[in-house]
Amino acid sequence: MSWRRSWALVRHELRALADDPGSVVFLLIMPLLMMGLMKPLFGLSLQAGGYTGANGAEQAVPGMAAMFVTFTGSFAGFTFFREHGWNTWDRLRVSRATTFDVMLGKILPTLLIAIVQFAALFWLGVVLFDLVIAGSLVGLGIIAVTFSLSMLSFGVAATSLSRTSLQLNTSVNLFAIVFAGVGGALVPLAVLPGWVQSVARLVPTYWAMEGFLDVILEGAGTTEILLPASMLMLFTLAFTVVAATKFRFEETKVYIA
Amino acid sequence: MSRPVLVIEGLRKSYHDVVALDGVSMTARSGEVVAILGPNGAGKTTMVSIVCGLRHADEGSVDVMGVDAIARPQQARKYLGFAPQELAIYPIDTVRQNLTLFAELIGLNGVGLARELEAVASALHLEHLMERKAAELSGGQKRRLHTAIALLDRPSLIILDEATTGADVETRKSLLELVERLAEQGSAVVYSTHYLEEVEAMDARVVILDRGRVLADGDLEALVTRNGGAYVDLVFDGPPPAIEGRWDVSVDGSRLRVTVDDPPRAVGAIFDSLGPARSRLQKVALVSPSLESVFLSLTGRRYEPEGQAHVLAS
Repeated sequence: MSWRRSWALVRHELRALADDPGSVVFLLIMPLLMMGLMKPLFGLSLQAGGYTGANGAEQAVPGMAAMFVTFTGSFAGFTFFREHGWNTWDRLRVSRATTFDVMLGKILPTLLIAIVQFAALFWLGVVLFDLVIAGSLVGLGIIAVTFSLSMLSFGVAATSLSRTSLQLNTSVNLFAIVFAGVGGALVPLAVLPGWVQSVARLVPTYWAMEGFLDVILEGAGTTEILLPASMLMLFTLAFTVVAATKFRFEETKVYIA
Repeated sequence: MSRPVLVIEGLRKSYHDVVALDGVSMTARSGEVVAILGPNGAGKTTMVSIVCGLRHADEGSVDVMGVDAIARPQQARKYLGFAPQELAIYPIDTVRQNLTLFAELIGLNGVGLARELEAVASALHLEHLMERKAAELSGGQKRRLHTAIALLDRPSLIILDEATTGADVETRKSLLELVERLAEQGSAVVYSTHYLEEVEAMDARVVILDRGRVLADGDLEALVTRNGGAYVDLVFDGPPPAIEGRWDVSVDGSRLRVTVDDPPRAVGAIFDSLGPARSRLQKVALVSPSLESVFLSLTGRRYEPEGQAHVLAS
């Protein structure tokens, strides 16, 4: 294992992202648009739920941020497919970089992007949509990081099960919507049917929203968000186990541009 | 005799019902060029993939610089430089960034890295292209960059799989010259190709691979002397005539093969013996002792680089 080798790969992946920044820009612009659209509706919903001072940003900002960070999680998977598309995957495997070096080099940039995405969206949520965070910013950060890890590991797990980039794209998009819908990111959980609320705990987005709302609305500190953070790490572990057992380095993957 | 850098013994590999390698054994020594010659589908890429740790063998052993490359591929790769058959460079990176990335993956940095980049760039005539994006290079330039990556840090074993595929004449010539220089500098170079003329142009030991088996392994001249034959091939419109003469003759459909010592000298007499059938003659080929005739002699088939079999009935 070599940090230097992983860092060389991280720099390469960041260059690839800089070469085609459209996706990253989209993942900042779209959630902001959705926040603006949904904020008034969420405001009414939160006020009806007893949060009389809420303006809707408390749900809109973390909800849209969480949903779009799920899409970001697929970036890590696409980097593997891109190697196959460029025929460089075998070259990378024959290099002196270990499996760990390669995985870290490919995954770390996506984690950095997800964290920066969260930070940017929350900051813009404060500036543009008057989001007020009652609790600990460190707690907010912990939820953002642990959720990012869970979505990243989900992206790699989806990659390990996908033979083509089209399959990866389809599965990630589908699960992003399902996680966001069932988890209470797309709309407040309280307005969803009872059966949805009962299965919501089974998706990572639910725990992210629990953590975010606890900090934003209830003024939670780092101790109070330990449960959602721990659950998100459990999801990370579960997805990682899937990825570790299903990922076949020798498998040829098909990149469809 | 120089030390063996690569030792392959009894390598077997099948993909479902297709036998790709059927007990392949060979060696490559430092300072030696070993040309693996065979038509498409012979098993060349499967063999180099196993040596590089990209595929698992069903049976057999691969030893690189004394390291069991099947059990410890990561250790074996320390001695290995590999240029795969398909072009494998990052189009979004510059030439320098491509080389730097792989040099850093080897473990080079600082002055050592800069020196190594300069060395391979010079060897592959890339010096003036270092800041150009790989996507903007010509086909030949891309192929040179692709090969340059394999040479970083002067590996003990360099494997070039179909290195000149898609290359222009100039690039092909310079790559073949480079292969010989690399061997002179002490590396063992394993060069796989389906082009006979490339092997004939190199000062190499030749391993002929066909349908997963090693048919011959030796010095080019010795192989041709031992196994190469000379003949005149005639193709007729309709069945070939029976010809009188002292020659060894074989027929396959409309093709008549006459084995002779000196085809240019014998062809006149052969024509004379055709009689009226001469008017039905469609094609004539004179084949002198060469790798092509070695392949024919060993397999009973014409050498078709793209892997089409043409079996002669003797």
